[in-house]
Amino acid sequence: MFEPVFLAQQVLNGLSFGALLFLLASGLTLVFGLMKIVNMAHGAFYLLGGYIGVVIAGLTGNLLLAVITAVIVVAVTAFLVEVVLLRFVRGQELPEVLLTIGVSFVIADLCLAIFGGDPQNLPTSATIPGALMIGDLIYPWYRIFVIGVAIAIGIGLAFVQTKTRIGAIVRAGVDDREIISAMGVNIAWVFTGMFVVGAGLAALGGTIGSGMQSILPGVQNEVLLYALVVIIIGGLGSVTGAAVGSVLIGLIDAFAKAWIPELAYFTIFLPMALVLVLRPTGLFGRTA
Amino acid sequence: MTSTMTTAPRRWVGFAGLVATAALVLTACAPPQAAEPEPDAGGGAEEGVSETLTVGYISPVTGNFAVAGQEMVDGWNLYWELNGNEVNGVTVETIVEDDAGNPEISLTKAAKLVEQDEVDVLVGPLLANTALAVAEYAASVGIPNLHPVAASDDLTQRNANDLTVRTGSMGGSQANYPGGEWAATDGGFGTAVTLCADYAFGWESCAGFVQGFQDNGGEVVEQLWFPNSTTDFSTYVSQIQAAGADMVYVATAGGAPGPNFLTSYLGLGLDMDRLLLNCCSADQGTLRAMGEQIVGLKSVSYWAEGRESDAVAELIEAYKEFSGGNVPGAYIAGGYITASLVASVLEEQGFVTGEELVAAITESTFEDNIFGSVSFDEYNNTVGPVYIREVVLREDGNLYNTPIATYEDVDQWFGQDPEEALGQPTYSQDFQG
Repeated sequence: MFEPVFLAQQVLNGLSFGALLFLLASGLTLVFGLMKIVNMAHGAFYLLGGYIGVVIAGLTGNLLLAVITAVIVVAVTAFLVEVVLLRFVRGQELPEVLLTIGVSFVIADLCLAIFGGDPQNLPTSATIPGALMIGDLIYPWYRIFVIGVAIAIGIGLAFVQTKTRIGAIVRAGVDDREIISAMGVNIAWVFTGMFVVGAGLAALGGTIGSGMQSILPGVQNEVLLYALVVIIIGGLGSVTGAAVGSVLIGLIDAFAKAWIPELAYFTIFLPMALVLVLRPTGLFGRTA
Repeated sequence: MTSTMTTAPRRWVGFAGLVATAALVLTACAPPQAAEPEPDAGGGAEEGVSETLTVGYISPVTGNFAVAGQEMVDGWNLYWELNGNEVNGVTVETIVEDDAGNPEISLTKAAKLVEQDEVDVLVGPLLANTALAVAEYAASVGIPNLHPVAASDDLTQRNANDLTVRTGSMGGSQANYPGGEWAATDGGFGTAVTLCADYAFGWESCAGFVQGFQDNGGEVVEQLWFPNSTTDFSTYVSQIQAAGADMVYVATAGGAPGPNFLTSYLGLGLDMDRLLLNCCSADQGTLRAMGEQIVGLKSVSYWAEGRESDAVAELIEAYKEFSGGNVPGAYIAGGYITASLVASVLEEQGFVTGEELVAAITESTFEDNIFGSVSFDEYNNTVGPVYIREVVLREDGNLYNTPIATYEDVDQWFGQDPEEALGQPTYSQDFQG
């Protein structure tokens, strides 16, 4: 239980699970940060993205193509949801949340009708085969690849947020919607754009994630729950918070299940409860 | 909304409340399944003397167990579709009710079926806790209750009665004892580590394996338990690797855990030949999800779709047509065999229900039905073969669990005296027999 190989493997287990959590949570937290919407359809976007990714990867054997297709299809879906539905309830918290729940049901049921109920995984031909071997330590390349993708996405998001004009507009929108629209920015389209990007990240997570864990009906709710926990720990709206929260949950989950199996049910929720008690805004959240 | 007026912590409370409500809505809003009486196969009404056996069929066709629940219903419907729902002048009419896997809903639906629809027989539900609840209720109102899939040991042990019968599966420990026996003898393994779902079905399955393994000289070095909600099994696979046993036994309740475990296990480069799964971890859903990389994977179950048998071949052919090319798994087989048992009783005796129906079912013996040579014990449980299976790719492009060893006439007592066995505590993490 304390051998170096076991510890190293568990760290990688925690990091790769955390990486997947980050892919899930970053989109949700971005959307919340700007639009103040808890997008309950986020899990459904993950589900849809996962299914499309699995199907395309099965047809072509190409993971990149699968990811791109999944992101595009889900982004278009999210665009329609935002423009056709969400806009009409803008600013009314409860209708917004209920609407996204409805969208989640519709997407999940359509997925069940189209893709059936079997668990589905990325075909092995589309994942990265083999494993990293250092001495006695063996670790699958695919999970290391997931860590890499999460780091790349994290850096990309941070870069866009801090160094570009789009990022500046988004940050201004987070701080004060009225002023930014008074300055001539069409905030409605910024909202749409952010919603689409958030959904695209969910789709990316779905496709990449289906190489680690199966896509099947019901996954949308599990995924949403994980993502909510991560952003509550990290602080709503904070990408840094989502990153830290994901890694924290991933590592705690991996080690607690090995060392304190009695706590296996609480590995996700205990940190959340502690954070809520000690720092209700989350680790990186700002007070309202 | 007053959120603009409240301070940050109170907003948090509001937010948490909102999320909790939403989560509740997500789980509780499953659409109610409309009653679906089977269409009359025709002819029954014109004979004048026809009677109707009304069957209330409870299954979780929505929610997290929707796939297994639907398969259980499909197996039942498939039989009547193939053979017609009129037997010996009795028309079998089925009313399907959805319990979403929730025992409270199961009970409500059972009461509705009995009081409102006045059904003659209750079939189902699927999950252990729902099955125990419905069995108790059915016994209290004198309605027979047939269980096509539910594996809870106590259905035919501590809660056994003359109205409850397990028709299409085996008890959790019963179906896995031969797995342990095989691993310690023919399998040639000396030590084992187990990973089982942390609830009644996992405890029972593991208890069966552990006793079978130890009774034949094997030693279990470590037992791991995973919460049903686990999606990433890598942390358990690392522990399995660290345990360093000769073999690994894994029991899940089906659905995603099977493929999720295998993805982690094979990803870490561990040896598939050291692995033995239970029935449901290697059911058809897992085989379809994992594909050819798991050819050779071994598992233990009362159901083997790859067995050479006319009865199995007939079911496979019919189900392929029904489902568009899929091979039937254990839930399909359970629903199907339950229907065929009801049909054969009606064929012999005409309209019967109550204890008579259960008694007639348990008196039947089969030389070779889809499960093999099957009979029933005095606790109304199935006695029959358990197969050690290996995944084989057939010419039709499908994967089949094909028997490599068969244990005939397996009952639920592992050679113990029933009275003595019933005096033990129920299986748990702490008591594995």
